[in-house]
Amino acid sequence: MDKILDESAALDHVLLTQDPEQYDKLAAALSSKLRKIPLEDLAATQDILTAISPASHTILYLYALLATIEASSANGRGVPRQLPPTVLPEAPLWPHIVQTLLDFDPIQVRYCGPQLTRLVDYVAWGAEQTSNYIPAIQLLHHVILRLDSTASTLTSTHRSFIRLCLLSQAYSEAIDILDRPIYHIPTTQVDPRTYKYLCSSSDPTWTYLTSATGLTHPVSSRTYLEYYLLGGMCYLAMRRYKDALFFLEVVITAPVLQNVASSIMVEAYKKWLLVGLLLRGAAPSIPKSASQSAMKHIRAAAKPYECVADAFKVGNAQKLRAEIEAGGNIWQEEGNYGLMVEVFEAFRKFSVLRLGRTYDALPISEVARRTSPDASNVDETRVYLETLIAGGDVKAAISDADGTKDQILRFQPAATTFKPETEYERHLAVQTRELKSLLGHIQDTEHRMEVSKEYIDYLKKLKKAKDEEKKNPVLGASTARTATAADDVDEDMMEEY
Amino acid sequence: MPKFDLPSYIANYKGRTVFRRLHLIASCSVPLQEEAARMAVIEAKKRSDVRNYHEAVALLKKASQGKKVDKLLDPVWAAQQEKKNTAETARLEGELKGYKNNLIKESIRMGNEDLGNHYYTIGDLNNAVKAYSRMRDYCTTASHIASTAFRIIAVAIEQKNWLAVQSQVHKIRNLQMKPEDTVRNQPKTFAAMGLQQMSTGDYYEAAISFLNTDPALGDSYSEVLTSNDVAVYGGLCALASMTRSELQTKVLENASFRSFLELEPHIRRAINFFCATKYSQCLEILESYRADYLLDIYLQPLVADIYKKIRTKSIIQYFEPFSKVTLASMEEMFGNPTATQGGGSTPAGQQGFLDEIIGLIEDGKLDARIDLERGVLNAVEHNVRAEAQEAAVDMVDGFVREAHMKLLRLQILNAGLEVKAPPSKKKPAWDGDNGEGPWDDSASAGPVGPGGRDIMAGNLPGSTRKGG
Repeated sequence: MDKILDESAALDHVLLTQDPEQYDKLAAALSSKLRKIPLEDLAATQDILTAISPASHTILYLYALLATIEASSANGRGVPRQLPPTVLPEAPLWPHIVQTLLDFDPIQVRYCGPQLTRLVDYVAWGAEQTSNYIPAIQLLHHVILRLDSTASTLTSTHRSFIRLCLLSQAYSEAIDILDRPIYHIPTTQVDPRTYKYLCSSSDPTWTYLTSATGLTHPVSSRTYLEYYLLGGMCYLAMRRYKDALFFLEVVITAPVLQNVASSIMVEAYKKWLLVGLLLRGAAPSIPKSASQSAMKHIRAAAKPYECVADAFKVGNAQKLRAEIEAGGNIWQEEGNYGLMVEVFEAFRKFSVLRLGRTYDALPISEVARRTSPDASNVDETRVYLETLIAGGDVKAAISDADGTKDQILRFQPAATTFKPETEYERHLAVQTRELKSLLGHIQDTEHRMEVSKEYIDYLKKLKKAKDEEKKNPVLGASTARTATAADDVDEDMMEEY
Repeated sequence: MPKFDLPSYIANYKGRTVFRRLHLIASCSVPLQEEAARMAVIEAKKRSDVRNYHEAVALLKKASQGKKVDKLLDPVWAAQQEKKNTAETARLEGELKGYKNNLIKESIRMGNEDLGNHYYTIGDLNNAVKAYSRMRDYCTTASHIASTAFRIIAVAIEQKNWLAVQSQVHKIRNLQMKPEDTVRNQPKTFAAMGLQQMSTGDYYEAAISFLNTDPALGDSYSEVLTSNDVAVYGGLCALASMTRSELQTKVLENASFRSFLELEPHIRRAINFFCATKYSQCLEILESYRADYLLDIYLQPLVADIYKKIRTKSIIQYFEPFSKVTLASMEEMFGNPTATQGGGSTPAGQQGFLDEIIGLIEDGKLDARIDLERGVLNAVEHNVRAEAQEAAVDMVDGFVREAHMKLLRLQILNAGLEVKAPPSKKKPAWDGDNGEGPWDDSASAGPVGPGGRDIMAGNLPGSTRKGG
């Protein structure tokens, strides 16, 4: 045991910077050695958990902790398919778990990925079992960022985290992660070119956040579909419809094989339609990259939603109300009732906004006649307009009441509603930064997947050359050409001298 | 009430179009119904199309409403003509067979032509097209091909098969012909092409075609249309589709088209008024001829559309130089197209006009806003710089979004994560009718653990025992 402790202690930053090769070897050896030690032995040295710190002895600590958990569940009277009580919050092992997840060494942990992932699973699962989400959310949030401060590689932890956030309605925590865009999705095969040593800290995150190191479960199509659907729902809860639309669109444009569609895609499509209505006042057009056959199935399954979208488009409040009321049970069952209510309210808002595109000013009674469900109740319409104006949704003003005459709703001219130029400048600067990072990732991906334009051109050229060679097997032509080329060079050289 | 005189109008035409025009007038115009029907019967009897004759008789019976018309009717003639037609068909078919046996190209061509002509005159248009198409295989010279194409065009126009007209016109235009033949064919091809474009709604193209039609057309194409028609069609199409300056340069200052316009001076006046921004007079003239045009065989289905386009354009052009116009003055100018003259200021008419303006704004044709409080139509002031900035920001947003989406897709494909059908089930994985939530669906690629409660449980069993 002491020997192992020594080996573990050797893995420090000095070695990492001086001799990464040695570090790599040592860490791998330590991990495999620990794997061979019987569980009981590891678990028996209970005091090790208190004696060493997980920050410097991450590998050892993780193995020991898991062994202890296993041991406690083996001799405990654990209910099947339930976590051993020892790993739940407030239980004896909980502080150790928390300490590990907070302090683990991000380099060492690459050599014991499966163990960390298992610990994360315990925490997530435990949170669901006890409905005590907050500590788990905070821990997972920390783990994701500690492993990868940009959080740009999708892992199974992402999905678990978002699910917990949604269950506990901790949307702002979720959005903190969701706002960091995903640029990479781990593959199951390891690309041999990606890194020299697992420990080189300069490597981009996608080189070690894979199922090969065990830092994530294998990512399935379901994992990322769920991540994006759940993420979209978080954005919805925060009313960030634009981001929600993007997340949902990722789901519905998911590539499909054969003639199938996932029911996750169906769910996403339903929400996507409604969000489109909320955001732009019109059903969004189906993206070109969406699979046509899948879309056919999805649309057939989401018929009631399309009916609502159609009614919205036609601009008939009565019809929209009828459609929404007719599908009451469906929305309720599928958890889209709240969204539907929003859509109905948005309809009236968009009707008023549309008036702004036709009128400069018009009497409120006219607004009521055109947009209100109850045309005779002018006062109600005025109150409604006032809330819209106060909320900044409609840029307009209502003239003062003056006795008998109708009050007038006057829209502000479009020219004055533009933002000041400094605002644009700032916005453009943000966008430039965003673009730069995105382009970096794109180049990186293109290079990694061998799809960059230059490379493909090069391949084409190679193939052409090969074909040509095949066509004229007489070597004379090509050799002659090279010979002349060589001659040319010679001549040039002669001239120079 | 139409302004034209029926007998002199119909005398301009010859061939089958005479009957078709009479038939149309008899079935659509109340005042001219009886006269047209009578003429149609006489016309039909002169020719050999028995079906036309029956149609005309039916129309006449309806139009005369019990009055004595028997002296015009001649059932015996119909039966005899029917027999004659069949005999003629048989004879021509026989002859054609003979020619075919002799393998003389020219004879076969002529045999087919005779047969086609015969079918055409007795009203069997489908067989006529077939015969003419067969005839083309035996054409040897460019002029033969041209004449075949013209025959097919004539039939296709009667069938309103505009696609066929278009393809035949192109065929003629691509032919290498002697210069004098080209000159002879030019007016007819352009007129046919204009007709086709107008009927398919390409008013601008149609206007250009009609404007390019050579005045040599005269009455050489009277089995389809007359020079008067070219003037009317060309003028209306131009009014509906061209800007004021285009109208000035391409129509009024067009020397060759001027000779057409002289035949229909009111069209020229209308265009003149339009160019002089006197829109109400222009519309008034057109309105007074609406009844006439509704009785034109080709114009009838298009009149409403063309008139609406001209009206819309007038309103837009009228508004262009202003930044503010009172609604009242605009209404005075344009009134209500359906209201009777002089009664334009009724509340209903006012609302109708307002709705028209609203429609134009909503379609994006009129860049203006209505101020109901002051009764004014305001032009929208544009802040080009700000709009450009806004557009730039939006564009970058769109690009980032799209690029990110594509990148993700690439990553997904690279990781081999396409949505697949689960291997165990035969039917497609999704089934919306079950109302499955996202948690217990069967479409997952990952296995759901035994008694799997949810996604998390699905993932755990794989890893729990690994440490041992």
